[in-house]
This record gives sequence, C-alpha cells and structure tokens, in this order.
Amino acid sequence: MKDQSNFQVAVIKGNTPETSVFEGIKMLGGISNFINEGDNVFIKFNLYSPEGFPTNTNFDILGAVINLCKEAGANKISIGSFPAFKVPIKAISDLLRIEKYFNTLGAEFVFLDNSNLYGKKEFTIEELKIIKSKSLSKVKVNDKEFLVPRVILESDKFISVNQVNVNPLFKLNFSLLNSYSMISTYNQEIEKTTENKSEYVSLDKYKQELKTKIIDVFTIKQPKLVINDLFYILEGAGPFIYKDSNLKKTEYLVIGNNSIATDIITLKMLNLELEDCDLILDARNKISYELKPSEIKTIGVDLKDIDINIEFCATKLEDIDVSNVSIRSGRYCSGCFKQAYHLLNFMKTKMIKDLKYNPRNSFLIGENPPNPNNPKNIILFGDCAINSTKESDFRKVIKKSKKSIKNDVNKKNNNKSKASKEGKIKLKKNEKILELEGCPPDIFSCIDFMIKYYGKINVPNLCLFNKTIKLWSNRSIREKLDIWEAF
Amino acid sequence: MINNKFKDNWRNILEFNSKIEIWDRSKISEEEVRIPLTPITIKASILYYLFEILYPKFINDQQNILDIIISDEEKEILGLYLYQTSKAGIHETIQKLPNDIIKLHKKDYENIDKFFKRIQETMMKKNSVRISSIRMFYKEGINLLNRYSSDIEEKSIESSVFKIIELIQTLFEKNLFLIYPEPTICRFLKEFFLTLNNIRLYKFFKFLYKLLPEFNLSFLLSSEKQNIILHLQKIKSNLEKSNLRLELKTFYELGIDNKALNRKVLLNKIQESLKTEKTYFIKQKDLISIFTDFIELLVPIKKENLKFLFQELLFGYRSFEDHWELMPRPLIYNSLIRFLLRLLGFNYNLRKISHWSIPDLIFDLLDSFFGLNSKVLVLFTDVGSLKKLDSEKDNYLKNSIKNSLFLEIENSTLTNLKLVSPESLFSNTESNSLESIRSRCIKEFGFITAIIVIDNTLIKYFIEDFIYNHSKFALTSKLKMLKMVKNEYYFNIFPKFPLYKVIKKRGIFSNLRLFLPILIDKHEF
Repeated sequence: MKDQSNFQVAVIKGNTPETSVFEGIKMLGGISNFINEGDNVFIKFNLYSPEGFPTNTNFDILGAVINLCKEAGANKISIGSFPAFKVPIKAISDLLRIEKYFNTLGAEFVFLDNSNLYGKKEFTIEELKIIKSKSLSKVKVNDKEFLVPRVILESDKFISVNQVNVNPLFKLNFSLLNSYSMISTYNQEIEKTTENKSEYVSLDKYKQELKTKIIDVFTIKQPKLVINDLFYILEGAGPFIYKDSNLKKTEYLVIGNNSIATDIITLKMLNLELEDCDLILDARNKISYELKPSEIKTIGVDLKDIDINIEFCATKLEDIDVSNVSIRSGRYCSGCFKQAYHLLNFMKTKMIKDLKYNPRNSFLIGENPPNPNNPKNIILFGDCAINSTKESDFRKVIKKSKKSIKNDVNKKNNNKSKASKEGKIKLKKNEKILELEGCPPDIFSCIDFMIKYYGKINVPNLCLFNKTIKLWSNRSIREKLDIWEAF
Repeated sequence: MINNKFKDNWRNILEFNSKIEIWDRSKISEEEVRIPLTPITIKASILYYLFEILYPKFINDQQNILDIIISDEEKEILGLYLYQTSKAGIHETIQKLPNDIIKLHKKDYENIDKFFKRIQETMMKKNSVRISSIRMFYKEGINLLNRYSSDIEEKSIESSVFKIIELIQTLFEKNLFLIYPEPTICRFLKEFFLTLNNIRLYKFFKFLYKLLPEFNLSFLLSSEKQNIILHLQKIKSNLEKSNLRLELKTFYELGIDNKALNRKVLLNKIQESLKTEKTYFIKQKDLISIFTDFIELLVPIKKENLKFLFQELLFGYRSFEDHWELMPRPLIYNSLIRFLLRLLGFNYNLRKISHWSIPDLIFDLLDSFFGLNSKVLVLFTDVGSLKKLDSEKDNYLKNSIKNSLFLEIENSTLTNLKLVSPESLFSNTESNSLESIRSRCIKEFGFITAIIVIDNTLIKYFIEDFIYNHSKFALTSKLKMLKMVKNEYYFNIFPKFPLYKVIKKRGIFSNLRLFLPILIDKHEF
C-alpha cells in the first residue's frame, strides 16, 4: 500500500481545460515529479463509442498531457483504451480517425485488442494466436484471471485521463472505471456465479461482482497520475449523449497522484459523501483502508469554496419519461438496470417518431413485474421478466367468436330479443409481446428485435439509427472479434 | 451635419406623415419617397403603413422620440432633435432644440437609465413633452451615415443592401448608435455581431446573392388593413451583371379591384399584371411573428430555441393553402400525383412534413457524432473554377478553396466563428488531404472534430432545387443535386460521419425510401 501521506490532489479552476492541466501539474511539482527521462508512458483515456465529447475524453486535454510527457523526456508515449461495447477498437478509430491525430502529437495510438491486425487477411489463425499471446498477458488477482495488454503492464508510467460524466450504476464515471477498461469488454463481463436466481437478484450479486472486478483490475496497474476532467460534466443522462443530457461547465479539473484520493475529492466537490458511492467506498476499504477525505492533501482551490450541483442519472427506471411507454418493474439486478437504462434512454432519444406511431407500449423488467395496462406492445426485458411472467394473465388474450361479439352489441343496445345463448370465448396466445432475452440483454440485439417486432415501416427512425450503428457494430465485425476473443 | 439627400428625403416623409391624418390615404397615394437609407422609391402611403406596423412592433410602441448627436469624445452634445409623434412610429414633425438644455456628465454612459430619466425630466420641464425613447448617435456614426448616403440614389439595390448591412454592423460593433430603452432587435443585433467575431456579414450575403438563380417573383403580403405586393426580380442586365429589382405596390397601383375576389384569383391577377413566374401569398402577421420569435432568441442561440424555431418554420411550410399559397399551384399538391408516387413506394406529401420530429432528429444526429462540444472547419470551394478536375485530384482542394470558416460549438450552441486564411491550411510540399489539414491545424485550433467541404455549385443547386423550386416536382434536377452530395468534389466530410457513410453506400432511390418515411408523416389524415 502506498504511503497515504503522499497522496496529493490539486483542484484547479481555469479558463481552458488545457491550461488547467498545465497549471495543475505545476502545482503538484511539475511533470518531472511523475515522468522521468526515458520512461515509457501509457495514457489511458475514455474511448467508449464513435461519438463526440463528452462520451469520449476531451482530445485537447490528451494533447496537453502528451506534450507534458514529451517535455519530461518520455521515451515512448502510448495511448489507448477498450471501448464500452463489444466492438473492435479499429471500428471506432476508423470512424473518429484519431490514429493520425495522436501520431502527429507524438504518441502512438495502440489497438489494445489488435483489431488493426486481425481484420487483415494476411494473418493466419496461428499467427494471430501468437500475436495475442505476445500482446496480452494473463494476470491473476484474487483467483481471477485477467488478460491485460502488455503495453500497459510494461509501461514505466501509467496515466489516467478520465472524463467525469454521470453514470447510472456508480453515480459518476470515476477514474477507477477508466482503469477498468484496460481489460477487454469480454473480460469485463460478469458471469453468473450463483445458481440461486432469486439470491442473485435480491443480493444484487451483479453489482457486487462488478465492484470486486473493478477494484481487482485497478490493483493490476495503478496510475501514477490521475486527471479527472470536470471542466465540463455531462449531467442528467449519461455517460452517453441522450435527450436528457446536458453539459455543465464547471471549469474545474482534479489532478492527483492516486486514483482513489482523486475520486474522493471529486465526490466532495459534487457535494457527495463517500457513503453515497459504494464503489469508491469499497475501493477505499480494500486498498487504502484508513484514507479519510480530510486526510487527503489538497492544493489549489479550497474545497469549501466549491459548490457544484449536478443532476444525476435516474435511479429508478420509472423516472425515465419515455413517451408512450409505461415502465413496470419487478425486482431486478444492476445488470438489467444498467442495460434497461440505456435502452430506455436510447428509445427516448432516437425513437421519438417511432413511439408516436406505436402508442401504448409497456416495458416490463425484473422478477414478477406488475401486469401491463394494455395487452398490446409488451416489451419483456431480460430473462427474469420473461421467465417470471410465463403464467401471467397478459400472456393470453381473449378471442371472442363472432356470435359473442354480436351478443355483446345486442346487450349494450338492450335488445334482449336478439340476444341468444352465450357465444364461445377462447383464450389464445398474446402475439403482441416482444421478449428481449439475456441476463442482461444486449442492446444491439434489442434494437434488431424491436425492428423485427414493430416492422420497418413503423419505426423509420430506428431503422436509420440501426443502419448507422451497423457501420461499426455489424455481424461480420462482431464475429471477427468473437473469434479473436475466443483464441 | 446630416447629408442633404438624406435630410431632404426625410423631410418629405415627415411632410407626408403630417398630412395623412387630415386627408384620405387613398387620395394621396401618388406621392413618392425613398425608403430611408435605400435607393428604393415607393409610395409614401406604403412607407407610412410600414412605419405604422413595424416601428411599434420592433423599436418602440410609445410616442415622442429624442435624437441626440454627441461628440466622439462623449464631451458635448452636437445636436438635439425632438419628434413629437401622435402615433407611435409615425414621425411627423422635427424640432431642433438648443444643445445646452441637457448637460452631459462622464457617468452618463455608465448608467444610461439614469441619464434617460434625467432627459425625460428635463424635457417635461422645459418642453412639456414626455419622451418615450432616445436615439443616440456618435459623430463618427453620423459621418458613416453621411458617407453612405452621399450617392444613395445612384446605387444599385444589391450594392445598397450590402452597404447597409455593413453600416449597421459597424454602428453596432463600434457602439456608435444606441436606442434606449433598448429594443429587442438592437439587443439581438449587438449579440449577433459579437458572435460573428469581425466576420463581415455583407460578404456572406454577397456570396449567397451570387449563387442565387435569376428569378421573377411576387409576394402578396396580406393583412386586413393594407395588402402590399412585393415584386422581386433578379435579372441579368446587358452589362452581364446581375441586377436586383424590388418594388412595393398596392392593388390600386396594379389596377386590381381586390374586393369580392378570392385569394386564388387575386394571385392570378397579380401574376398576370407583373408577369412573374410565381406569386406567393403570405400573411404579414405570420412574417412578423416569425421575425419576432427570431430576434427574441438570445445569442448564442441555444439548441432548444433553435429547434423550436425550426419546428415553427417547418410547420409554416406544411401549412400550404392555409398560412401561405403559391400560384401556379405546384403539381406535388395534386392528390392524383401523390397517389401515383405512393404506389411506387414514395410518400411525398409536403403537407405532412414531420415538423415535430425532424429538428429533434437532426440535432440528435449532430450531437451524437460531433459531440456536445466540437470544433468544425468548413471549407467552401469552387470546383467549377478549375480547368481540369481529374489531373488535379490530390490538390483540387488547395486550388479550389475560396473561404474557410472555423466554428466552435459549446453544449450544442455555436459560440465562436472565425475566418481562417486558406493559405494556413495547405502545404506546397506535403499531402493536402483532409486528414493532413486536421493535423496541420492542431497548433492553432487543437483537435478539430470534423472538416466539412462544400462546393459553391452544390449550394447553388441546393438553392435552386430546394429553396427556389421547393414545391416543384422536378425529379431529375433534384436527383442530380442529391447525387452531388455523394460526390466528394462537391461535398465531403472528414471523418466520415456514420450517417454520411450510410447515404454514400446507398443508391438515390434507396436513400429516398430510407429518408422519406422519416421526413414525412405516415398518416394522410
């Protein structure tokens, strides 16, 4: 454990994010305090998806950090990240065209998943296996095995440049989460370890496992320099850009020499207590047990003078106001919550017209969700919702014979003479149910299923967005990645 | 102090305005005056009407105005002119007051409200007039006005339009003119010119004017009080120079008796009388409403406000034969043609444009790819000026670049605009691809999110096909324009926006099938 008395965090308020980086590092003793001449440096940033800022880190801040590393005489500067989805890094890099940008700055953009190679025909499977074993290394932490890129493990200095956005599971995207994407999205997945489904949900094993995994990965290689970029924070809905997202300008940057300390100060700046964020609390307890917020040495702006209030993500799915969708939840785990949160926000943002064309939808999630008001357009999200509602009333709809319809009309009209014996009433399977399987379901598959269910003609906007998504996440791209990950 | 031509014309206007309450408006419609600061001559009664409806709406809706001319050093008053108006906006009389009745103090410019109240008190005490508004001109501003007005009658309309835009921009940028209480339009213009960052607005209009096709249009601007017919023409003169012609007329001047005639017949009669290609019907109150909504926006214009304005415009556009009308009636509004198109799989009903969802969709697409904060470089080219296109493939950008504009967007709001010298973007020795340009700009601009290349020819076709002939069912020319969007010489974007990639990959008909259901509502009723 690092000597906690050395934990230092600088809080800077500046005119531009770049000048704040320079100023903050100067406050912490200059870049030479972090980087020595001849060091091989790896910069980990957020590269979630082919979207603009603030989904991904501010590239101007990265430029400033690269320049500082060069100034300190770094031998080699590498930069990279795994994305948020199961897509090759190359697919994202090709859309954003960032490789040359970093090269021009003097850093090498590293394809941590080697996606720049495995798409090429000239490599045989055997050669690719060798490449994979050479570029990734197995690291064991608490009996769990992680595949970590060697370029990170072997770097002399590891820097984390993290964009702080709101996050549905952990309130904020902390630097700890930025470190987590040093392993591939496949490796990040949470496997169901318990047979008891009910326990898995009630104890929220998903989140417990996830937190443990994040902390374990963090211990593999801790960053020597951590930058939490709060100059602009994405509030309301995040960490991707949704309809309810808003970019708040705070003009603050938090820079420190320890991730947990930097994240704790970031929490404090946003009027949050350590207890409000279980991930940071767990990390503090496991890694630096005695670290109290008051013991972290802060320089720069006095924390008492900072009062930033932001709007966090919805904590209940029912709070996401999607037009023409009634959300009904049973008991669900954090895995399903996270995916449902993203799907509902996606629907709210991209399907405005589509939802107008398809009114009265019910979105059922979790174990034993309440019955929908309407028997049409029922979306069952996740295995829990599908399995626990197998016998529910809405699974069947009443099919009336022509005779019974006629009788109903006659009864309504008080025409007793015409009302004959009761017609036959049959129950038939409700076909207006969309089952989105998975534990938790995959968003891309959900989109495909929704198009199939509603029909292309009824969801024109979704069809367009699906076509743009397919550019970086189509079946062939994902198949190649699956093969690579399976080696 | 004021230019004589301006003064004489202004006196004529005042004289006319002072008589109009006594006489019947229609009887004095032969008198003509110039619209102040323009070479356009119109009937004095129309100008009276324009002042009557526009001045109270956009400048000040109260009576009595005081014009103050002050020295550039802000030390002395050089002129005081009182307009006692019985009706807001209608200037009838002018009275020169002694300059010393109001004393100037150093702090007057810091607290203009206090200064205004002092003027009000003084005017009440000395002239028994309650002033509702002051217009302050600096001497430099008056000099600029005089210089501009010196040869006003000889100027062509287009050049006077460009010059007046430049004059207004200079007056606001240098704070040479102010009205207090400040009207919304002045606040808007001040903020707008500030965002322009010294980019000359008239150059933009000049650029657009060059790209406009020749046209001959008339507009029936209707209202219950006074209908006005605007005749607008862009013609090619013998001197191979485009000329703009603008006339404002009344039914009386065209010899049309508008009583008991329906709208369609009126439009036909106007078209016949002025021999125009098209005649539009627009309600004056709608135009004023849109303009008012526009100037009420705070600059930089927030995304939500822009979305709302865009929705309003689209709603107006879909309200054909309700809020506006066009003669000859476009074929696309013919139900049979629309039915046939629908049989072919194309739902092209302009009355069903999704005004409520299109703005959201467009802004969402921009937000997700460019991000909420972005820097965009826009390059305007003129590929048509190159002799050979293919042989110059690598360098065509460098050789055809005309202008380049740098845009900075913060939280989806345009906050900064800057003209960039094209020379700083290109190299004589290295590659001039868009990726290389982005790398070359790192020092000056940091990370550029996207570079967009737009050719003049594309803008020209866009104006012609989608603005001028917006309702015309000219399939071939519209398809030609859409095809140009896919041609990198005319339109390019770096890095390739996923949506642009989708458009490029698909054929035109396939794109129409993809986009029409998004742009047009499904239900006919």
